[in-house]
Amino acid sequence: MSPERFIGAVGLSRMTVRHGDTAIALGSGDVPVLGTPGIIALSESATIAALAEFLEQSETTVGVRIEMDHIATASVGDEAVATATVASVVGKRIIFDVQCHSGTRLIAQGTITRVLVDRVSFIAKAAAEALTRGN
Amino acid sequence: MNQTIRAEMVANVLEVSVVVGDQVSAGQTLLLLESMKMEIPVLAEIDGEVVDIGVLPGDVIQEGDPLLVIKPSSGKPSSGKPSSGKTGAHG
Repeated sequence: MSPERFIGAVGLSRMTVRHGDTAIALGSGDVPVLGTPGIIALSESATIAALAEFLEQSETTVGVRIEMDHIATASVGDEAVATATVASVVGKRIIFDVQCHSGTRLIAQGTITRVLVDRVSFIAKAAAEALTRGN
Repeated sequence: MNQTIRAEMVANVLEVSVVVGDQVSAGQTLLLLESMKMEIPVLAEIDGEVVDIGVLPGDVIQEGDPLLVIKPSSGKPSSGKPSSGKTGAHG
């Protein structure tokens, strides 16, 4: 089926910020607020949720591009929610608009691109490449 | 010529410090934005009158969005000083 079937799909992901999610814990900074990698992980999780019901069993997607503005902070104990909407599809590339809120505050926004792949072929190729490298 | 102040980056509007009709001076705080995890004041670059405000506290603004419009004070030359490092005007 054509990837155009994904357009308009919406996914949501939610987290409560824990000490392990802070920039200090993630190694991405030295302040005790939700680190940017945490925002990225939350956002990617929302993109996965958006596609979940539309993918065939043989299909999966892999992240290939992320462009985010991290606008505001979220502290330990705050809730953060990411919403991802499929804005467009170009060939096998699926482009999401993503927004993250903490309460009513926008804390991050951007776009994430994932590529539709055949799950088995992708894993086999990665394994073959690892073998070639002697891993 | 009226000066439209535009957003230089995506941001939350925290505070609008002026109302339409206010006389403002160069360097005066017009808006308070939240972006890059900081509070960022938007300052007037010229003396003049606020003739339009396009945002409210709580709004999310995108790069390039018009924020407010200032009509320069008549007969007074613009200060012409760009406020480097601040979210500010681009004619």
